[in-house]
Amino acid sequence: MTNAMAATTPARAAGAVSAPVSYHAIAYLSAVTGLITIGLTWLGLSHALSFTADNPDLSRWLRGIAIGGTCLAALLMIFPVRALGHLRRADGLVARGDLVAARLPAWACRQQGLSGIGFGATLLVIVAFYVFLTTNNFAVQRAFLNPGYMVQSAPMVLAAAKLNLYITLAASVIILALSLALALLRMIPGAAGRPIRWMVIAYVDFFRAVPTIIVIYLIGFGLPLTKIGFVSGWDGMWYAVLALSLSFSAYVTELFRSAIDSIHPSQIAAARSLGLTAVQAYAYVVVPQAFRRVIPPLLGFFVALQKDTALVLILGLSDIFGQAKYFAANFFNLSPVSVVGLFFFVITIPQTRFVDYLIDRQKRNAIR
Amino acid sequence: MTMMTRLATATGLVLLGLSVPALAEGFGECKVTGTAGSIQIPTVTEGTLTVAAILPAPDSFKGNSPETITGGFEYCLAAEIAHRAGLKSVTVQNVPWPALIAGQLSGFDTAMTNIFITEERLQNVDFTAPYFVATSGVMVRSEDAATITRDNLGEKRLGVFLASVQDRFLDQTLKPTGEVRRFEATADMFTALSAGQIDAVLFDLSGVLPAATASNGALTVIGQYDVGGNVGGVLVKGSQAKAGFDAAIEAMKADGTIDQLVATWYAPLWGVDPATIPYWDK
Repeated sequence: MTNAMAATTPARAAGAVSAPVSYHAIAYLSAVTGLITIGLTWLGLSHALSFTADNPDLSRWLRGIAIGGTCLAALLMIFPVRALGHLRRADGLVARGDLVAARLPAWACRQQGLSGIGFGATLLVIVAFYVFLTTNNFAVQRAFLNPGYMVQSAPMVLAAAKLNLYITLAASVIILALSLALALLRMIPGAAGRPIRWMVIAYVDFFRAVPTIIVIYLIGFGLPLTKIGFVSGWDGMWYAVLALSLSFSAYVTELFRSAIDSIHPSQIAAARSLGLTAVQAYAYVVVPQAFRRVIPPLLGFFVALQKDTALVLILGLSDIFGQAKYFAANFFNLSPVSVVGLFFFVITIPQTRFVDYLIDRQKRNAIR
Repeated sequence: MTMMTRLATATGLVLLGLSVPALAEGFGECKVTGTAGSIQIPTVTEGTLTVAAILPAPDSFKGNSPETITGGFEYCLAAEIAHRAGLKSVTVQNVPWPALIAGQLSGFDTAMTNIFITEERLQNVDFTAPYFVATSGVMVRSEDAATITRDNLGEKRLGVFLASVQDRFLDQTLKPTGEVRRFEATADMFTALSAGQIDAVLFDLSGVLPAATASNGALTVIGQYDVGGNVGGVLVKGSQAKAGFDAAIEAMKADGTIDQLVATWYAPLWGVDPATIPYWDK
């Protein structure tokens, strides 16, 4: 550090550019954290070995992980080593007073140093997760990531996901139709349209205020109790579809309304001046444009809908979560429920990525 | 890594539409003994006895889903009744407990999951003749077995099944000063105990003993209360099937079939003779 201080002094005196002091701190910090990372990685990864003395096969695997992980940590030392190389070059240039030329190696030194710190921190987070899984003789892993139980329950748990998919599909269709209709009713113009607008607002407010799980419970148990012919004899799945449709339609109605609202009034004016009626203007000009804008957030709601189908468990339906809890009861272990988490992770991640892509594309188009 | 490969294969098979076939006919692992057609039971669905249950209940209905039940005390009891009534199969239906006991459900012939016959419940539903007598057990984590006693139980965090006889017992008799948590699924209750969310579970002895056995020593049943009594099948109020069920159950008590079912299905799961668990209220 004394070196660094000495090097900066002439630069300050010259007063040409701001003092390039930070790259020293970053380079040295990077070297120190790199060494600490190697130590912590070995400590963390080798910890699990103490539980596997009686299982040579597993022991060999875990030792492999520990050695491999530590080698990786050692490999990360390449960043501080490079940083120190750049540091020496930068210092040399600073000593010669060539501050402009020194900025490039100083920048490279900072980049390498920060990369080392960043990758080291990432590795330590992974190591910490490994320690979490293996600590206390693999307690966490045994409790909800037991591969044997997961494999045993997976076929039936994943088969039960069919119910979730059916509910999602049926509810999606109803939600799309219902909320588009409600959004248009919500926008009926004029004083005469007021009672209709108020009704839609009341509907949206009510179902956005009441938690979805309450709606499912009240509809799933309440409607059959009424013993009214056409609403009491349904299959349990259809009560779930109805409840989710009512609840989600409230949100999607607002989505459609804001999208329709966002279409510039000049579009309607232009359509009307071309001789289209008000209904035609909405049907052929406004709604198609609004629909395009609404697709990304709409897909986001459908991802949420898929996940919320797991709530229908409270009706006693054998959906994916219900089936997983069945196994959990039989095994006295939560691993089958982790299969459910994994399932939703696998099916929703591509969809959310797709939504992100659509939003990006829309932004690009808007700029162009 | 082979496990992951198998998991992936299983996923693939399921996505291809292959699933586990349901049992269409027969009584699984149950060995029926009586004379077919010796009793008459009018059923809601022709040819099969529809039995509602609070699932999962591994000790009473052994299987991984309502469609794949192959054994268990109450499943085989129902199978025996169905056989004697000349029926070919038992159809198991999972129902929500609060709605069942409030008399809000129909569409089943009887509901059996170690349900006690009580005065309050008789106001909403009917019951078959009793087929079992049960008490309530206190289950704790094994490391707490030495410190939880009949005297300090009321100060602990307790778990009970919602609207069960044990729930009422806590309310009216034990009057605990500690927190009471009410569960709608036994599995959740046992998990909460294992996880240290509660300190003791008060539930049917015939239900906690199998959980203790299956926990590999993590959970222990340390005491029992003479709370519970007669267990019977729930019938929809005014059910025409009561006479048939009662006749079958009385006959099975008389000819030793029920004792045989207890010995076959309950005893191995219990691990110990229930009589050896000390009574805390005597």
